[in-house]
Amino acid sequence: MTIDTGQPSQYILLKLASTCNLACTYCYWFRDPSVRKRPSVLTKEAEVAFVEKLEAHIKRNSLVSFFILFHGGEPLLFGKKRFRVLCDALRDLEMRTGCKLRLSITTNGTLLDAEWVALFQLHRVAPTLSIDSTEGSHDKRRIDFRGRGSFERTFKALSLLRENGVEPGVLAVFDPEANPKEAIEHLTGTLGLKSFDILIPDATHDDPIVAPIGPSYVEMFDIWRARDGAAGFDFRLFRNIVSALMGFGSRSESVGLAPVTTSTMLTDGSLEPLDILRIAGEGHTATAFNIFEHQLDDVRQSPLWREVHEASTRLPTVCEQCEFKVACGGGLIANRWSSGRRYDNPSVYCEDLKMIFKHAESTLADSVFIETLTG
Amino acid sequence: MKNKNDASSQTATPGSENKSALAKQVSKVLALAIVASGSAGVDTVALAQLRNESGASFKIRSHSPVIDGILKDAQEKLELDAPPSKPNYDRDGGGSYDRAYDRTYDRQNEYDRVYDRQ
Repeated sequence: MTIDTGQPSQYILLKLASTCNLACTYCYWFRDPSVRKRPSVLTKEAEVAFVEKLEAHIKRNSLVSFFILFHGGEPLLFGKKRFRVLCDALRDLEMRTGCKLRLSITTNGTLLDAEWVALFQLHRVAPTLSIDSTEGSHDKRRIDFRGRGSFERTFKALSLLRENGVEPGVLAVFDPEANPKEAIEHLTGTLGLKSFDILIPDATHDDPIVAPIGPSYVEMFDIWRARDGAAGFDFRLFRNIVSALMGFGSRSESVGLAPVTTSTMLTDGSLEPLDILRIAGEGHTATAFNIFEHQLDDVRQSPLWREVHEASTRLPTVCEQCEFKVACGGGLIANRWSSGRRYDNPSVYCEDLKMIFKHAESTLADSVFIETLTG
Repeated sequence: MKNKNDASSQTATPGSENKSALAKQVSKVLALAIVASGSAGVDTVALAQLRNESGASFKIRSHSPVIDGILKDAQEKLELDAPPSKPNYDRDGGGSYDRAYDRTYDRQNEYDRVYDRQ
């Protein structure tokens, strides 16, 4: 799907906190040590400037919709009082401009309580919880600074949200050591989830060891496809792969051939490209742009934003010759990084992705048909 | 691939010869979409235009309920986004939303529905 690269942004990651109360073993954020030099939470000055610049951006481009994802670190470290003030300001902006603001937050849930849930409901903030694919995986990898697992606290958050009528989005990160069948059973059975995603672990070509993921994802694909009726569930990655294979495009940055356009604002007001790019190393995403001196979309002039934008549509030769070029699009752009060739590589998961796409394609070929309803 | 209904076997209604030809074209494109899968990609906008101009209604379906649901949603969205009225960018959140950051699992629509019931 071709996207007009000249269109104004309608989406930003807003970092409410640089710090976290967990020390997850695979966290992409802290792979870039420079984040520790940022203010622990969004500064008041950056917050005020952001609301001002967002309003200007909306008016200049006559936007009727804009998406803000509150992110971290752990965004609940921002605190309830400041969160309320920020959301009040954003909802006031919404009233003034008539631009619908879609607010979302991704949290580990360990600090969630009834007051937070009430704030989410009051300001219509849609939560996403990070929960790994088995209790064992979660407690092994999503640990606090004393090394203790956090599953029980996160599970309480899920329960609390549900008690208040909120079904959060759920994201897990794939654990190569976990049994795929047990992972699906845990998410759909024990946790009772009807929709979730299991993210492919962050890795680059510079990583000495990258565990294969293909066979496990193929197994999960078959479980996902075999489920029917009440037992069925939505696995976002597979939904996007199927949609992309069928030519309907993808709604994820990890799947499909289209430009990467996401921008990020850090706690000190710095503007950066897609924040996952920081897995390339310390300071990789740094730019000269900030919310005080620049407009929101000025970050698109930064060399890295432009490089990634171009690399996301101009694939390396090996991808250009691949049968899954359009549907796959080279995978997540961050997984293409190497110090030597920068983003001019296929995904570090290329062979795994081929295996998954090939399996999905054969499944589709066996099951699809054309229904004509013409008169 | 299993063709439950072949467009070429449809009976043309009076004055619909051109539509029928287009319908065949659409069917062919759809079939190619299925067979070719991700190899070259499918111009879904052109496909929707063909479908609109033909006046025909074609659906890609699947015997797998979970896949059929995805195809149904995708094709409904395609019809809503049908050209030529599509602007350069969707001010209602199309555009860059088409491939969103995936470090969140956005359930905003579902959330709004829950909220609206409260």
